[in-house]
Amino acid sequence: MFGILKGLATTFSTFTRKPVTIEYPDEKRDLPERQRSFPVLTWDFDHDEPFCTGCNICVRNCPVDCMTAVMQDNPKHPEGTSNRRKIAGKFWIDYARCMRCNICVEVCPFEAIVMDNNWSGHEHSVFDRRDLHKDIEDLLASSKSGELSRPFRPLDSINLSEAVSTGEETPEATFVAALPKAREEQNQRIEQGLGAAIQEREPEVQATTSASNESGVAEDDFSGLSERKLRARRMKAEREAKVLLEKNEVVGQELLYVLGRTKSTLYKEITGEDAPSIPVPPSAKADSPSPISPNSDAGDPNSPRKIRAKRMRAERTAREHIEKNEEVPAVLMTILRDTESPIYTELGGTETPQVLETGTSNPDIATENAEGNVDSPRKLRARRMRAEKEAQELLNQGEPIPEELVERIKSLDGTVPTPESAT
Amino acid sequence: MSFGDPFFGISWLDIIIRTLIMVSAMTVVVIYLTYGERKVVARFQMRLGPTRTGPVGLLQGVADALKLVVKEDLRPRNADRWVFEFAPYATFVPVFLVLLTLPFAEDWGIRNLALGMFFVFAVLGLNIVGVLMAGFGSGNKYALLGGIRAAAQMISYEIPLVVALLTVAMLAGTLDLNQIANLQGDRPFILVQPLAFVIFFIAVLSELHRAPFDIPVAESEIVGGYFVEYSGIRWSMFQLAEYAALWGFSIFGSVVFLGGWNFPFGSEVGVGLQLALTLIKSTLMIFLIFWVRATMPRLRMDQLMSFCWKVLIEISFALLLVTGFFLYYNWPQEILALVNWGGALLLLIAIFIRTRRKSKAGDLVGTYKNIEVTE
Repeated sequence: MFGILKGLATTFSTFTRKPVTIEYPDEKRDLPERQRSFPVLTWDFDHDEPFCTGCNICVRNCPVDCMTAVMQDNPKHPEGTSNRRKIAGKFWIDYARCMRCNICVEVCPFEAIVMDNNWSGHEHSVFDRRDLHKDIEDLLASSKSGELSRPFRPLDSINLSEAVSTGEETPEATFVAALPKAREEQNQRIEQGLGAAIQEREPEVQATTSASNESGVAEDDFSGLSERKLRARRMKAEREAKVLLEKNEVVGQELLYVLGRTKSTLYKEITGEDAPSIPVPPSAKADSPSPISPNSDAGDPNSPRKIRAKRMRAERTAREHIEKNEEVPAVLMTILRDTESPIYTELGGTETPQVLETGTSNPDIATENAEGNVDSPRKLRARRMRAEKEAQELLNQGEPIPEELVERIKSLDGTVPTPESAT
Repeated sequence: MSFGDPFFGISWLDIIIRTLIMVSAMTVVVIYLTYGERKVVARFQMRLGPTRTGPVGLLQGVADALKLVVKEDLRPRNADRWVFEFAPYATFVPVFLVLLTLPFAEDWGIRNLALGMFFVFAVLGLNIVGVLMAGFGSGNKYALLGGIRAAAQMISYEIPLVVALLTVAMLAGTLDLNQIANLQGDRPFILVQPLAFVIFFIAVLSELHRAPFDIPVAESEIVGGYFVEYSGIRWSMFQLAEYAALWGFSIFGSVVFLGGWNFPFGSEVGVGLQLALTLIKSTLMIFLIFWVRATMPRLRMDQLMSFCWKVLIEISFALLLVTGFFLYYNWPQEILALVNWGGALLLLIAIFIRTRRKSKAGDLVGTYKNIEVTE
């Protein structure tokens, strides 16, 4: 009973007290310095650019993969207004995914990212989830506007307190160029007409870009590359091309472009032309058919390149037969003869090759020889199975099936093997 | 023309006008009672309560009512259709009938009945029918259990309620509420019969399903009990009935025990002040109910029933007996008041001693004790 009265007295005493409610949207309590809302990028007021160089350390350390950063050359570096060679060109953070773990802040070597400790960092209600993908402008806004006036990193305070307790020299202050003082100084500079960024060095003259522009070469991936890098690119392309050539496969247009652009000798071997002095990028070549384009002779099964490929393929099959002490099939002999293979005479072929005219239909079907009708169902079947087997082998090796082979299989009413049928 | 005469002299038009006045007044009062309850309970918890709807949240009740009216009215497939649909009205109408006979000022009610208090007892019993209908008609065994619990609680607490009021009626010698208020010009009956007021108050808490006796609704445990299947406008009828009953009982209590429109200023001060006096006293009662709600935890069902049958009914019958003795032998009321206060004190001490004891299962008062954990 007294308990009841005591309870009533207690509740009445709370009734008379002032409510502790803070009416949030109208009235906001101050947030502590350590408040951890969402990561934002800091703005270097001394150099009028972000601290972030796009080095991707935070991206790689992010446990939830919510960040993307793109590094690019800093245009202010040659101008001498910045000592950063690279700068973050693009930066995205998906706030919907971020779990505010602070790891990006801890790992950043440039004091470039910090947790927003203002209300603006918390108030991210949107109607569309995609609006939570913040780009570099959004991420820099808090610091650039001066709202992020007390950037805080736990590591700094740990280091400071450790240094104080051990009596060592205290570490340098961090985020100096992102503080309101730096912002004021920048405003003063702008007022005095000195420019937003401090001039660190004399502007450099960029030799590489100007030289390449004089020669009239269109700007592409190769402009401004050093000799060493060009050589590395060339050797890599040559290696790839050689692998393709060994397999009797078509050297791709992109690869040829790289070969031509790097003045490789292989370019001439493949195309029979000198490397062009001013190469045209592959995208620009789409309108004008080039002699080296694999598509240019796609309709002609008797182009020199295809005949050579056919010959080499036939030679390889013939050798397999010879190794197994089998008789080389007549169809194969026909191909060897028609492609003027040296093996043909070795195997005892005596017939003169038939002249293959460019533009005729498939010679395998169109030509006849002394041994009888090459289009007999048996031979057609054998040819089809061989072509299919060949395509299957290529597939098994993970190589693409050449256009020509596909056509051949189709003309023989075969089925082109697909990766699903590889096993 | 006095307020008791028919409006325009036409009796049927008079009935309609008076009913309309009562309905609209009751609706407004209920809307602001919900708002007031939220505000008061919030302050008891050092919060602010509703603040965003209108100035200081004044339109919160309107917004809630609007939302409830617009909300979909669901009926379970296996519900007993007519019982289910009429249950809210069967709960609401008795409460409304109670309101019709209350004197808000001298001769200033919808209808002044010679057997006003008897009428209140009579129609209150009907309230239970609505609760049982709701529990039975929902086609839900939990709603049925909730309904039965509510009915058991309400029937049980009606006995001490009625007996406690009878002691006052015996003193007054009349059942006319206007007459009862009239008799309290020099002293309200709470001074003469404080024990009866305490019993009345506790019983009213239970009748209204208010904390700590809100077992039938118990939002956190059985989600509304007998009206668990109701939504929208029908659910709001239950709420309307509950808050209208709260208002009606507080006015009833202020008339019977606190002197109503009469006590401090007498019957000569005019209708306006009398009306204000009644409303202030009833507001005090309502505040007391909210205050108890903000303080007490909910009782267990067995504690609730044992408190009623083992404590309240005994005390109320004893009080009835004592009052009868006093009236029969014509002893002065001052001594009755003394006995009453002494009895209240003795009861307090008795309960205090019981709370000091180690609590046993079924011990009503043991619940309020801080249980000390001993080895």
